[in-house]
Amino acid sequence: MSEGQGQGQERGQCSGLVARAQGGDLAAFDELYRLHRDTVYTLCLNLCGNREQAQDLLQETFVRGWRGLQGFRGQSAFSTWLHRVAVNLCRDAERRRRTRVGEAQAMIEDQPGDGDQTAELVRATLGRLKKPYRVVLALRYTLSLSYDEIAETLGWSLPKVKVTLHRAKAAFRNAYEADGD
Amino acid sequence: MRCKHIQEKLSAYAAGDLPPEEHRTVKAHTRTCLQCRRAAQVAARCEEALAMLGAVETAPDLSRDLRRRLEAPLRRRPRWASVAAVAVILLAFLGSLWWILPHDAALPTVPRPAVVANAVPEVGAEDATAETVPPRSQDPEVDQQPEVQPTLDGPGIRQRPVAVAAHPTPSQTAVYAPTSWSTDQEPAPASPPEATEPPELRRADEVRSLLVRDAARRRALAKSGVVLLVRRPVDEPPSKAYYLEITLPDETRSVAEYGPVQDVAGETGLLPAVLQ
Repeated sequence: MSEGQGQGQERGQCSGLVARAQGGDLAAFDELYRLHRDTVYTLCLNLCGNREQAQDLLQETFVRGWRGLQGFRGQSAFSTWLHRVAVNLCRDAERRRRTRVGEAQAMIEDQPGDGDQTAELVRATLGRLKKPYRVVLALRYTLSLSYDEIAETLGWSLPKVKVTLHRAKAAFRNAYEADGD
Repeated sequence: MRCKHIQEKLSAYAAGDLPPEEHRTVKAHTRTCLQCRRAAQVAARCEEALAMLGAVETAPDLSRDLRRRLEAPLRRRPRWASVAAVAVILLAFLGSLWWILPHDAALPTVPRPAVVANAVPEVGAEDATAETVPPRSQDPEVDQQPEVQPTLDGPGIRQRPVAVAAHPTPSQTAVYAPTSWSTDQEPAPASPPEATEPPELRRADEVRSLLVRDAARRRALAKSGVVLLVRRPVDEPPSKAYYLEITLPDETRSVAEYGPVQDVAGETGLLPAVLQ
């Protein structure tokens, strides 16, 4: 199935729920939460590297989504819109965290190791990259977004997405190989 | 294809993003080039690692907490905070107006005699009505007196050129122009001031300086601008006279005398002088 078909199906599935939720139907929004919570949670986890914080970000994403739902015009898929909210919240959270001395690194390195060790190592490596690199890699590999979808989610141009992704992979390779040595 | 070009494509090669033709080229090259083959293996390992990010984690069920938050009313800023913010802004605005605007309106209980307007006569005007001090190079012996004395602009306010002595009025303390600090000319014989139409007001930016001195020729306040406020010292009697000296761009000067001021509220009343 092509990405376009998948996106179209997702739009069709969500549009009814979104319309009901925009009318104030909490049950419809709860259904949207159930449909998207895992991908949003994984995205937040890969971006912030901390499960507890990822939970907070997951909840905050849907709270913001509910409050801003009237501003959603359906010009993109609901998931794209929701992922944009999540990415922005992760950015804000990191900005706040970095104001506290040394805490950013500690948050990444002291993350709970209850998941797959290799996955945790990958997240730790990801957490040491520059923020744009981390975001494009998370969108590309967590959500399997195409270049166009990444550009739409982040509001970037297509060439910028390609260049940033290329550099992000090179940066990840260097960091990951250094961790392996 | 050189190794440098091959290695630039290894990331896309490992991700399977290359077009079939390029994919075959890179694959063939890595079979024969050890360095590129190792680099391709590293790229493949990284691609495999990054692919682990795609393993979707099961999110904890937060639906109950979420629903509670969604159902809770939005915490809004208290109404009193908004009112207080508006009040502070309003007070700041009014405070700035107090300093910017003339204070005639600010002392409503007191008659406003001390407004010195049109204190600057036209320079070079044919009409000598408001002509100011003639240059010292001109005939110093001439006890020239303007044909028409500047007017009283209100109770206790007079305006006149520097070279002319002030004339006491029956109801006021006799005050003479301090000619020594404005011109070396001898004061002209006293003659009673005559009321006349005030000269046309000058723009404030045409005035080079604006200086206020008290009767003892001490500087009370010097300020250029549209609005001039003179604060009377506490220890000075209300009958004290003040002089407003205005220097025009061509170095000619004019003195406006205002005082004695007897109807300014309190000992520290402000004497507003407006120069437009």
